[in-house]
Amino acid sequence: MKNATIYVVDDDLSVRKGLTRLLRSTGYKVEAFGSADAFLMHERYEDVACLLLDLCMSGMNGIELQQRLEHLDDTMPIIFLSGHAGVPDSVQAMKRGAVDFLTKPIDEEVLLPAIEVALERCKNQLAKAVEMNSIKQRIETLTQRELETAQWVISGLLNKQIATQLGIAEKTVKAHRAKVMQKMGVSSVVELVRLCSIAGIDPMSAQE
Amino acid sequence: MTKSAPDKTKTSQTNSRIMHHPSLKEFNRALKEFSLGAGMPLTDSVQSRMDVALGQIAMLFGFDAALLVIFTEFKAARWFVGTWYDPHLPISSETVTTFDCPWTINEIKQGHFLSVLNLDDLPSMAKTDRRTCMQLGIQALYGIPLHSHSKITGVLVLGAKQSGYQPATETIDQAQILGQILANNIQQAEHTERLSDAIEAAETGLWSLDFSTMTFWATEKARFIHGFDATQELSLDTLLSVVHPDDREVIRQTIELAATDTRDIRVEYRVVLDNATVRWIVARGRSYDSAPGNMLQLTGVCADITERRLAEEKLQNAQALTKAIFDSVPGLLYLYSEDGKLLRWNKQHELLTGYSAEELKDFPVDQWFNEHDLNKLQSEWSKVFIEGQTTTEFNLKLKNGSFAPFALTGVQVEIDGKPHLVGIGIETTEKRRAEISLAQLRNELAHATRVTTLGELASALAHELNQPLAAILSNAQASRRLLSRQPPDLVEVKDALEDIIRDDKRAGEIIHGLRNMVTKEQSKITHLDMNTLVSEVASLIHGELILSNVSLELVLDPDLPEVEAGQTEIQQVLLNLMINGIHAQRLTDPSSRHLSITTRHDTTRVIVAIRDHGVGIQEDLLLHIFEPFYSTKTSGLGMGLAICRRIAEANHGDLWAENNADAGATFYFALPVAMRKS
Repeated sequence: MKNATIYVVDDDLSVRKGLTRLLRSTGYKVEAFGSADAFLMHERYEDVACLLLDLCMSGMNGIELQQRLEHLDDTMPIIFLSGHAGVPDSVQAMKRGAVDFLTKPIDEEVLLPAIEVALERCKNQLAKAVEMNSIKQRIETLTQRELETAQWVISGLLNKQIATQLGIAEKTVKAHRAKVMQKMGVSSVVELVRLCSIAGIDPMSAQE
Repeated sequence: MTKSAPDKTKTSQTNSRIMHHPSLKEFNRALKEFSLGAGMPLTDSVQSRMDVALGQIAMLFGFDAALLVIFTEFKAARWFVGTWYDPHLPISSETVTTFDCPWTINEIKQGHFLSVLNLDDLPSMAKTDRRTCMQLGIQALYGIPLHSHSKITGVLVLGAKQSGYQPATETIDQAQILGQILANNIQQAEHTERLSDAIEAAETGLWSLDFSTMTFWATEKARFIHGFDATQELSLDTLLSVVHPDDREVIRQTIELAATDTRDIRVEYRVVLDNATVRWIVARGRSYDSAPGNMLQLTGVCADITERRLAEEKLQNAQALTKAIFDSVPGLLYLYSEDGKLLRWNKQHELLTGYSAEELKDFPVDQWFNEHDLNKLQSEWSKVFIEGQTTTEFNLKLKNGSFAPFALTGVQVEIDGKPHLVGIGIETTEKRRAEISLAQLRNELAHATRVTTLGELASALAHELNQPLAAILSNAQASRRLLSRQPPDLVEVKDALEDIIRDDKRAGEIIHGLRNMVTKEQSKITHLDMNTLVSEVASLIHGELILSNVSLELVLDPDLPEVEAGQTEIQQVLLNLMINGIHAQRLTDPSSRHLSITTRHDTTRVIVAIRDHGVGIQEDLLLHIFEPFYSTKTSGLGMGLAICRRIAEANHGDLWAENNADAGATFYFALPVAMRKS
C-alpha cells in the first residue's frame, strides 16, 4: 500500500528521524511531528494512513491524543510506540482500538507488518465509510412509508402481513416495496437486509 | 677632723687676726642650694654655677677671692678648677689656674689646713704663688683640704685683700662642708657624664627624674629614642604623652613606688612615634634619697629594644605555630635522640599514653615496649638510623599498664648536626577500627540509597535509554534498504550513519552516568561545574518528568564558579532532590506541575535551588525530614535526604528546605566555591 501516508508523532528527534528514514526507504509517505498538538494542527487528507504514536511525551501524551481523535470521530488506526512496556497503558490503548502496541527499539520486521495491518484497516474503514455514505444517501431518498415498508420487509414479513401492520392495501405495499428495491438499488431482500444493517436501519418487530 | 683642724693648720706668724662669722641662716641656705645642684652633668652652665657657688662661699666667710681645685682624671684635664673674684679686685685679664699657685695647692693636698695672714709669710718656694696673689691684690690666704672617703679630692683656697684676714675657727667646718659639697657635685657630675658617654656608646640613654619638680633630665640619646628634641622640657606628662596608652599606668605605678623608697626599677614600655611607629623601650633605674623617706631622684638608663621585642614576638609566634601543628596531629608525634630519649612530643602523646609532660621528658624509648618486642624495636631503630626511615606496628605500654596497638613511623632527621628520630604513631585499637568500618558502612548505605533511587527510576531510565537505541535500529534498517536500492542512495545512508553514531554516543553517556551512580567507589574530589551536573542529572530524570507530567525549567548562572567535591555524591544529591520534587507533585493538578532548578553563587558558595509546586512540607516536619529513616513516601529507604545532607556536610556544604510562599517547597543545596586551580 505504497500510496499510504504514515504519521509519526514522537517528541524525541532521534527516534522521529530514524522512523521517518526507515519508512521512507520502504516507500511510504511520512509526516513527522514533535508533539500531539503539532499533529492536531496539521491538515490531513482523507487517504489511507496510520499513526505511529509515542506513548510518553511531554505535553499531551499518546493516550490523550488517542482520546482526542476519538472525540473528533477520527478513526485513523494508531500504532503505539513506547520506551517501556507498561501493562496498564497498553491495555487501555488496545481497548480503545489501537492496532498495536510496540516497544522501542522496534524492529522493522515487527513495525512494517503492523503498519500494513493498520493501513488495511484504514482502507477498509475508508471503503466502509464510502459505502455507508452511498447507502445513507439512498435511504434518504425513501419516503416515510417506503422506509417503514423496508423495515417490515427486512424483518421477514410477507406483503399481506405488512399490509395488516400498516393498515393499507396489499397492492399498495407491493408498490412501496418495488419503489424501495429500486431506490436502494437492490434486487433481493438479502441485499436490502445487508444495506440496512450497515446503515443501522433496524427491522420492525411485529406486535402480535 | 674639724676639731683638730686648727692644730694641723700651718699658720705663719701673724700680728692681727680679723675674724668673720657667717650667720647660720645664710649657711643653711647655701647648704640647701648646693645640695640641689647634685648630679648635674658638666656643662658650661654648670661651670658658671660652680663659680657662682664658689663666690657664695667666699662672701659667706668674708673673702674676696676663691679657687676650687678638684683632682680629677676626667677627659684631658687633670684638674677641675673654679674661680671667683670680688668684682672690686684689680684683676688682671689672666685667670688664675693651678699653675699660678702650685705651692699652696700642693701644701693643702697633703691634708693640711693652710693659713697665710700675710704674703710675706710665704716661703721662698712659693714665689709663683706670691706673684699671683700680688697681681690679684690678695694679701691673706686660707686653704681647706676636701675629702672623700679619707682621700684628698680637692682643695679650696680663699683669699682676702686685707692682710691678717682669717675665718673664725668655729666656722672652718662650715666652709669645709660647703666646699666638700661643691666638690662632690662636680665629681658626681663628672661621673654622670663619664657614664653618659659610655651609655651613649652603648646606644643607651641616661635620664634622671627629680622628685621635687617631677621633671626629667635626659641625655640626647634618651631624648632621641623617645622622639623628643634636645631642648624640650620634659615632665612626667610629656613622657606619658608619647607612651602607648596601655603602658602609661605601669610607668605611673613604677614611679610612685620609686618615690617611696630606695629601690631598683625596671619597666618595658612602648612609645608611639609619629602616630604610627611603635618603639619598645626598656628603662632601668634606681631611686636615691637624701635621708630615709626623703626621695631626691630616680636615675637610670633607657634603651630601644624594639628589635629584640619584635624578634621575641616572631619567635613566640613561630613557636606557637609549631606547637599548634604539633598538637593538632591526631596521634603520637615524637622526636627522639639517637640514644632513645624522648625530646619533644605533642599534647596528644600525653593524652594517649597517660603520661604527663614532666614524665615524658627524656622518656626512654624501650620503656614503651613489651620485653619480647625489644629485639624488633632494636632492628626498627637501627633501620631508621641506617636506611633513614621505617614504618611498623607495635603494642605500646601505656601508663596504666595496658597495651594499645599503634602504627608507627620513624624518619631520621639531623638536628644540630646529630641524627634524631622523628615520627608519628596512629592508634589502631578497636575504636579506630569501628570508626573506619562505620565510615565504610556509611558509604555502603549511600550506595544502597543511590541504587534504590535509580531503581525507582528504572522504567524512566529504560525509556531514556530506549530512545537512542530505537533511533539506531531504525536508521540501521533504513540504511540496509537504501543500500539495496538500484542505485543505492548513498547520501541518505551517510546521514543515517551519522545519526547512528550520535545516538550511540547518547546511549553511551546515559549508561556511563548510570554506571557512575551505581558504583560503590567513593568518587574522587575534583573541580566540578554544577551547571553541567544539573544538566546531566536533569537528562536522567527526563523520562520520569514525562511519566509524571511535570514540566522542567533550568535557570543556570552563566558565571558559576566551580565547586570541589565528589561527582557521584553530588549527582546523587541532585537526583534525589529532583525526584523528590517530582514525587511531591503527585497530588498537584497536572497543568500546574512544574519543577524549577536554579543555580546561582555568592562570594563563597554555589547554591542550587530545586523548587516544586507540590504539597509542601508541614512546618513541624521541616527539621525532621533530614533525619534517617524519616519518610513520607511508601517506597524507598527513608534515607535519601539524610544521606544527601551527610554528603553536603562532608563536602563542607549545606542542605536545607523552605516552604514556598505560593505552593510547594524549595530545597537548597550549597557547596563552597573551589579554591583556584594551581
